[in-house]
Amino acid sequence: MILNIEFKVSDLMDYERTQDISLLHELECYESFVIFDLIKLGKGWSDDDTIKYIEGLLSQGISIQDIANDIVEALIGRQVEENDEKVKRDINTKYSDILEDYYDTFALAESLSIGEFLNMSTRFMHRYAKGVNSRYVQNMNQQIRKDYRYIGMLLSAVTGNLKACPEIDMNGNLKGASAYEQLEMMHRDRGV
Amino acid sequence: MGRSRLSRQFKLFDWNQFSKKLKQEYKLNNDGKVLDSNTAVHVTFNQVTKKNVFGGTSIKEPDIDAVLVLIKLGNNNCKDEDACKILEDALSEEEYSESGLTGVMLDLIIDFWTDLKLSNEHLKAAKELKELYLKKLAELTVEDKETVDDEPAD
Repeated sequence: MILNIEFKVSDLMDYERTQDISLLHELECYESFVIFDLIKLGKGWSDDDTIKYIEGLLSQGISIQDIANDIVEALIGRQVEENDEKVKRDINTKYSDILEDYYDTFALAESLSIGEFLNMSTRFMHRYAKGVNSRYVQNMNQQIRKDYRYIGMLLSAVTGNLKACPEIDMNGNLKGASAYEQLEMMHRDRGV
Repeated sequence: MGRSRLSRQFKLFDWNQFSKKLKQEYKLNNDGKVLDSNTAVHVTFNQVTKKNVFGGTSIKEPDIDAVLVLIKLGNNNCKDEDACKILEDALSEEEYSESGLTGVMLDLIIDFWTDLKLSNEHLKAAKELKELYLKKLAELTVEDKETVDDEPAD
């Protein structure tokens, strides 16, 4: 990553709305004024400092395309491939729409308020999204394992092989279980 | 190939202001339609090239306004009158006697991509376009001379 830049979600939405442009489309066109505005926004610099910074990068042989692609990576949290179906960079798709989709997912999964979301930085937003996704997968796996054990117990009861119901002591260890059995239970619960 | 005398320097900040305004005006003047290309390419290459019937591109003479836009941008946003003077002086020089307005525009395009450093590929393309144009001009001039020589004296 060349720029090491991040943005506040609300700043990006405001910029896109006030300029009435599609951020991703303009970045695909490598528009230097959008690149200038976004670097200024993300870094919080003055016009002069931003211009000097961009001119410095261009003088080092870094092209405007490289800079634009770096910004897109900061916006969507990953590199965009050619014909990327999930990130359409046409004139009509706004980055704000993608942000709103993110919010819908977070609000549903984590009860995140709109204020908290708008104040997020894009870098944190992408990590948060990965965390939400991981937690979702873990929770689902835990539920599936519980259901699986329940069905196992039912079948054991039907065939007369049901063992006594295990209990946990005050230290969190299975009563009467061997060390090996306790380790197995621990690993199962952690999803290893 | 050094810079021409048509411009002093193209500045990135001035260019950014201009291109933002160009995109907004384009949208206003075209019923909300967005300019679907890079503005730098639009004010440079798109003004001296056109698609031909075979699907390739050929060189065309630019509009005077397109030339004046670049002269103004490259001369600290000078006034219209000053830009016209620079263009008139250039066209009366030996250097552009054959290549004319197209030659002036091609030199301005090279200055533009040289100063702004936005893309080495586009700078290279600008230089190649000028070479191609001068080569075609030279071929045409030779053909004209051969035609005159072939005509019998009265």
